Order: sequence, then C-alpha cells, then structure tokens
Amino acid sequence: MTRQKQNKFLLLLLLVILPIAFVCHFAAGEISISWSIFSDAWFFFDSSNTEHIIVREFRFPRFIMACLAGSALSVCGLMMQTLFNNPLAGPYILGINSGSSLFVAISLMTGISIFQSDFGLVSSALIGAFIFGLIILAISFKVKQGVSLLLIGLMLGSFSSALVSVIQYLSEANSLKMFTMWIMGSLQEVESGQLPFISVLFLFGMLGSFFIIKPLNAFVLGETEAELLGISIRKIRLLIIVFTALLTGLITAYCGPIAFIGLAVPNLVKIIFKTQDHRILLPASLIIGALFLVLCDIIVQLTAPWIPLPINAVTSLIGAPMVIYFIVKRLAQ
Amino acid sequence: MKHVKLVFITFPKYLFMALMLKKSRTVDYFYDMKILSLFVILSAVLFSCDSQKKKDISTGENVARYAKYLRIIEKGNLTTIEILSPETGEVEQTLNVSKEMIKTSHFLQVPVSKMAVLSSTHVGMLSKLNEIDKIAGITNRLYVYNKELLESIEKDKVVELGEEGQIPVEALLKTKCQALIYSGFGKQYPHQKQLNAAMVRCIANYDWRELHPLGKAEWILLFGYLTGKEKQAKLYFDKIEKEYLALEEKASKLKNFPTVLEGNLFGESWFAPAGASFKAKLLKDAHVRYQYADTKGTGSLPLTLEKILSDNLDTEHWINPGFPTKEKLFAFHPKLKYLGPVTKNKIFDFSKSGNRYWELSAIEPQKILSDYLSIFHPTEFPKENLYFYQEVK
Amino acid sequence: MRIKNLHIGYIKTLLEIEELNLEPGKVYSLIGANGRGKTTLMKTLIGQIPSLSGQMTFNEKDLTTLLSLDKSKLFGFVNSRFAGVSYMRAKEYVALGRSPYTNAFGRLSAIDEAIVDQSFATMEIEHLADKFTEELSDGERQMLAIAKVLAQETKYIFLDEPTAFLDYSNKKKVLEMLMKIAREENKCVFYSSHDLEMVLEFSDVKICIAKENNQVSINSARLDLNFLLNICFQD
Repeated sequence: MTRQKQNKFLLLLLLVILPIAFVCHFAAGEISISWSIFSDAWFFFDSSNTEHIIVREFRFPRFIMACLAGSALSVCGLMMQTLFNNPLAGPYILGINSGSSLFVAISLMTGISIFQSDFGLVSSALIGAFIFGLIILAISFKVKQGVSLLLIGLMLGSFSSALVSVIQYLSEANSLKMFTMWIMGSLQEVESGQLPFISVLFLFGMLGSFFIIKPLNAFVLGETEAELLGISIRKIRLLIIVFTALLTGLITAYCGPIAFIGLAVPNLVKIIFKTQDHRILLPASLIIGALFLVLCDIIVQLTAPWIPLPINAVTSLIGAPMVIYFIVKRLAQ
Repeated sequence: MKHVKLVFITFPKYLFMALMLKKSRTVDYFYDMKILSLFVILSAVLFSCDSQKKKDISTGENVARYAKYLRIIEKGNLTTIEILSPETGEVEQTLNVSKEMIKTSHFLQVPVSKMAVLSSTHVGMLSKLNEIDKIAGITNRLYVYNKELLESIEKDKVVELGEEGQIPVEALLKTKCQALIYSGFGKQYPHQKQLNAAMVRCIANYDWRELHPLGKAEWILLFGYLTGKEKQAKLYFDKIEKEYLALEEKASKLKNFPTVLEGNLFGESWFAPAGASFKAKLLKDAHVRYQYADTKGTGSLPLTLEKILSDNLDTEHWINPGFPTKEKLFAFHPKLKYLGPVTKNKIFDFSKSGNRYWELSAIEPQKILSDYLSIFHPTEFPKENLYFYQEVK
Repeated sequence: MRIKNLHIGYIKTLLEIEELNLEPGKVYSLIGANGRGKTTLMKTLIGQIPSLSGQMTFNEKDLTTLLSLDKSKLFGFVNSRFAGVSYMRAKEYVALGRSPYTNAFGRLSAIDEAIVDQSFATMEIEHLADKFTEELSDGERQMLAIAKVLAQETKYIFLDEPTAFLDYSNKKKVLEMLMKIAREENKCVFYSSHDLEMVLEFSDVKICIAKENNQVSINSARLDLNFLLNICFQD
C-alpha cells in the first residue's frame, strides 16, 4: 500500500529530525559551549569542569526529559481520545494531572514520611493519576456525551486545586516552596542519575501502549463495536487507564503538570497522517510529542534571558490556540 | 534587559512582593496565574513607564528621612501623613491624625484603639512599640512569631482574616477595629468603600518597596503616630539608625571583599536582586562583592540556573537560599549542588525562625547587617550567635 | 443456531420465543412496532444482553459460554447507521473487520488484505476504498458497514434497521445485497426493519412481534402487507 509506505517514510523523516532538534536544543542554552567540549564531557569527563557539568547534568537530562515527557503525554492524550471517543480528551483536560497534583501536594505538604523520598513522590503522583483516571472512567459510563465528560474533567481539576489550596494554606513554608516549585513545572530538575529509573518506567508504559494497538483501533468505532470485534473492553479500558496513569504520573512527578500537549499533539498527528490506525498514530504521537516539547523548551531557553517563562506557559501558548482551532473546527461540522 | 526590570517595578503586587518578601504570595501568584503569567508580564511591559518624582505637595519638614514613600509633617496638634505611590511618586493616601477630639471624618483621631494588620512586618513594628494588644486581626497564625500575639489568637482576641486581598469584611467589622493596614499595591484596598463606610480606615503600607534598609524600618513612625507613641517610635528609630550607620561605617573600612550569591531558583529562573534593590544595598553595606551589584533596577533579574552557575564559579558565600538544611535544599532542586558556594560550604539562611525573620527583619535592619558582617567577615566581626541567620548544613 | 424458550428483556420478560432455528443461506426479517423489543432481541441474540431464561445453542454448544473472541468470529453486527469517523478511510474501516483474526498488533496478512478487497468487491464498492468515511453518503456508508461484517467472515450477520436512514433506491440496493450475500456466501442474515413492502420481498422468514400481546410469530410462507399491518401495527 503506497499510503502506508508514505506514512512510514514520514515517520522515519520525523525520527531524523530528532537529532537535529537535539543540536538546536543544545545550542539554545544560555551559556555557549563548543561541540569539542560537548564530546570531551562524554569521553574525558572532569567533574570539576563546569562546562562538562553543564553538558552532562544540565543540557542532556533536560533534552531527554523533554523527549520523554512530550512523547508520554502525547501518547496518553491519544489513548484517552480513543478511549473516550472524543478528540478533545487528554490527561490534563480530564484531570489526570490534577490527581497527581493533589497527591503530590498531600505527600509534600502533610509530611507523611513514606512519601518524602524520590520514590514516594513518583508513587504518589502515580496513585493520584490512577485514582482520578478511574473516577473519570466510572463517570464516563454514566455520561455519554463527550463535552459533559470534559466539563467533569475540568470540575475534577478545580476540585483538586481547591483541595490543594486548603493544603497549601495549612502547610509550612518550606514544603510550600517545594510544592510551588513543583507545580510550576520544569524540565530541568531531573538529574542524569535519575534517567535510568525514569526511562525504565517510561518504556514499560510505552511498550504496554504498543501492545494494545489493535484494541485501540477497534475502540475508534466505539466500545460496542469493539466488543463485537472480539475485544474485551473491560480489560482494555483498565489497561488504558493503567498505562495513562503510569506515563502521566511519571512525567508529572518529575516535571510538574504540563498542559495541553496531550490534547494538541494527537490531533496534530491525525491532521498530518490522516488516519485512525494506531500503528501509525502511536509512534507518530511519540515522535511528534517529543519534538513538540523539545521545541517548547528551546523557546523557554531562548527567551529565558529576557522573560522567565515556565515550560507550562509555552505549551499553553502554543497548545491553547491549537485546541481552540480544533474545537471550532469540530463545532463547525 | 530594560524591559525585564520594568516588569518587576510595574507588577509589584504579584511578582515583586512575591519574590522578595513573602512566602505565601509566591504560591498564590504562580499557582493561580501560572498560565496567565506570560500575559501578565507582557501587559506589564506594554504599560510600564519610568516613574517620575513629583515635587513636594505639602510644605513643612518631613519627619521621615530615609523612607521614600512615607511623608510625615507635623503642624501643632495635627500631623499629616502622606503615603506616596512607588509607581508615580505622587501622594496615594493622605492621613490627618490628631490626638484631640475632632468630629469630622477627614481626620483620624489617635490613638487608634484597634487595628488589623495584614503583613508580618506590621506586627514586628507594633511589637517594638509594645502595642501588640492593639492588633485585632491578622492574616494567618502560621506566620506569627510574636508570643503575645499568639496567645491573644489562642484566646480568640485576635481574628485570622486569611488571604490579604480577600478578607471576610464582616469578620473584620466585628472586631470593631478603626484601621486596616495592608501592603500597598498601587490600588485601593478591595473592600475600601465598604470599610470606609463602616469607619475603618484602609492604610497602605509600602515598607516592602523601600530600597534603603533604614527607609523600611522608618515605617515604624506610621505605627507610632497611629498608636499615639510617635515619640517612642522616633527614639527607637534613632537608635537603630545609629547602630546601622556605625556598622556600615566600620564595614566600609574593611580591606577584603568576599563574594556572595543571593536568593534561589523560582521556577525556571533565579531572581537575583538587581543592583539598586534593597537586598543589594544590604550586601553593599556588608562590604561584599555581589556579582550583579552593577546591574540597573530596583527589582530582580531573572537569570537561568546555567548562568548563575557559570557566573558564580568562585563565589564563596550563598545567602538566603530559603531552606534550613542542605537535604531540603537539594530536594527542592538537585542541581543546586553544583553551585560554587556549595562546594565551599558557606551557605547561610535566616532559617533560625522564618517567622521571626519576616516579622522583625524590617524593623531590625541593624541586626541583619550585623549578621551579614559576622558571616562574611568572621575575623573582623566575630559573633557566637547570629541573630536571624544560621548555617545551612 | 437454535433458540428455545428464550425469554428476553431487562428485568421483566419483554418477548418470548418458543423455538427458532436460524439457518445459513436464509434471510430473516424482524418486524414490530417501536418499543416492542426488536433491538433488545437482536442484542440478546448476539450476546450483548444476557437472556432472562431459555437456551441459545450453536452446534449443540451453549452460546452464553462462548468467549467474546469466538463470538466475534460467529456473529457480525451492523448498526442502523455508521456516521463515519474523522480521518478514517473506507479501507481502514473495513480492515477492522479482520480484528478477530489478526495478530496482537492488528497487522494484516496477505490473506487478510485479499479478504478485505474481496468484501469491497462483493459489495461492489471498490471505488470507495480510498475515500474518507466521513465524506461518504449514508447509503455508501451502509454498504461499507456491511463490507466490514463480510470481512469479519461470520456465519451470522445481524443488522439493526439497516435501511432506516436510506432513500428508496439505497434501501433496495442494500436489501438486494443482503439477499445476494445469504445466497452466494451461504450466510444467515437477520435484520429488523419498518419497510414492510421491502421485507415482504427481501426475506425468507418473517418474524413478527404482535402489537397486542407481544406474541412472536414466525412465518416462512408468503405474507401480504395487510396481514403484517394487522398483526404488528394494529391496536
């Protein structure tokens, strides 16, 4: 099939852009570092050399996190859109992030000791994402209309942020500062030492998502049709929520809640590839999601000397108009 | 770079105040407005303009000598207190106070028997005048250091009003207070009309915008006049002025200039005090070399962590990271451990008691300076116990 | 497929079928007024709603014990309307009918591809293969939906009011096609409809739900329109 070949070629092309994006991302940093130092940092690492540290501990983990976060959130957005049969669904809109925020707030600010470690932060973000995912899923059985579901997602978000404000009001200054820092979102908090752990969880969630490509394709026709095609919908629904919670929770734990990317990228991918085949959509969301967030972070880095923009502001600045466009286009039909 | 500084001058309520002075503000700003922040910043840039100083409107000798935004003129029994806007330099509020019985609403009869104060610095100033019992309302007991005040809160003699900008008006009226002191932000207090109708005076306090440590402390005079203890207030201020100037004088004779880094990350940026800011002034008076001392602006400079790192490779000291221990500091942001001063192990924070610092630092600038001198010049200014500060370990 | 003493409904019995054998090569039509339980009956037969009591067997095997994957190879279902999915092409849609047979990633083998192409050919809609489902007419989409069920290669094809949204010529086309499929591919086709004249022409067995007492009658003989009207729609 020529069209499939075309799409595969396009995917490959995007994959080739990724290293170029890396070069741009690296060059966008405020301190200019030559490429010879870049290679020295890897082959002749000197821990007392600041430039080496900037390469290995600042630029590199930041780029990797931009890629991982971008792909994870985009793939989650894609799965949510398919699960709820709604192109405006996404982990942020449906309040999955809010679940993470609420539980991270609880763990950071109420001083429950088991949550204080690095692992604790991740697990509370995961638990929060999972619980809110289940809530949204349960509500989706009652509420069939897509827009209502989004409204409920937004309500969940408001509800949890109200709870978070209460917790904030009652918490002491240091933990409040930590939480504030976390909720503003940043790609530069992850250390190179944490990357293996993050990557393993990421791979787990991502591989899981790839193994439900076939059910996802059937879900596009709605759950009833999917069931008639031999898909066990209960199992798949739960798996989608598990993988989404895993990926969203993981990224949210380390980078804070990042808005809109999970909504915007899958829609963009569908416009580019013009298909509903998840064998194309999933890898495409993965790559374009990574590219999208890397681009946003390049903007953050380039504007940093003039305007301090959180990554969230950039994704919203680019993502929100895109989403408005999708909504208008959808309503016009 | 010019724009950036303007931003922080013209959007004081959220950014400046948030970043420089208050802990709770910080959270509100970015939590509620994280997405809007860019628009806020952009609009601030668009509408900003350089502040112009207007000529004196009132005549007579100004009692306040350091404070730029407070003007006090005594005329016999009557004292005119003018609060100037840091934005325009014009008079924002005029307060005529008198100790005699005057039956007109244009005057405020002092002493005021009860007042609500919405910033910790106000509590600190009242405590120095022994007038804690005049306090009828505060924002949140979590931020109170003063023991007497805490006891009064326990006994329900003082109400907690919550968020500074959205206090419950009825709860405030119930306290029968006559004045409400809030941190000025260039506009009327949100409930001003209602409160004025109920004979509650809303008074803006710009101590947090003052650029001279003594100017900040001088706002004690406002509380002095309100409580009828202006004499004590003047005496107290003269005392700290003398102490501060003496320390500054002694420090200026030092030979060496240790290097220092101030502040911490907030989001993606490190908001370093600009050259003409209050914090930079304190550092200058402490005779240290601060990397950004020559920058323009009275607010802060948003710098990336990479820039801070590479600018401060050899910096010895780090002051005010905002955390009491290294463990918490690195939990806040793990990459802080690569900063120059961390490797030299010279980090100090006002973490002995955060609340005490927020309450008293404005009114005890001489103690901050004295702590700074002992931290930066331990041989010349040895001190067993620092007052506000302690080492971050 | 044999049905015996089947009670259908949600909590209360809505319909009762004493005995019905669905045989391959035949077309069954289901006629009844609105709200009489046509859709419920259809959903019970394909196993989406449990029956209240009674037996449904296929080759002597109880259908309720069947796994959903096995069911999907036995029963195909077509809704009264397929509204189309944005960005989904006709071929992609029909290929989804192969889901029960493809591997974990839904990859189409050469055989699967051939079957998909064959389904298009059977329905005589090869020219639609590359079009987007959203851009097709209702009639074209209904043909496409049937093509998908054909690709699913099920013995039984159930259609819930397949002609409800179609104009006269499309109704005729679809029903003719169903007759053709039943005859040529030896499948059992079971559809519900309100188009009585067409039902009379395009079905072998007419299952009528009486309006008066919800009695189900099964008629293999030729009927006339008045008879149907009397049973199903008269008060």
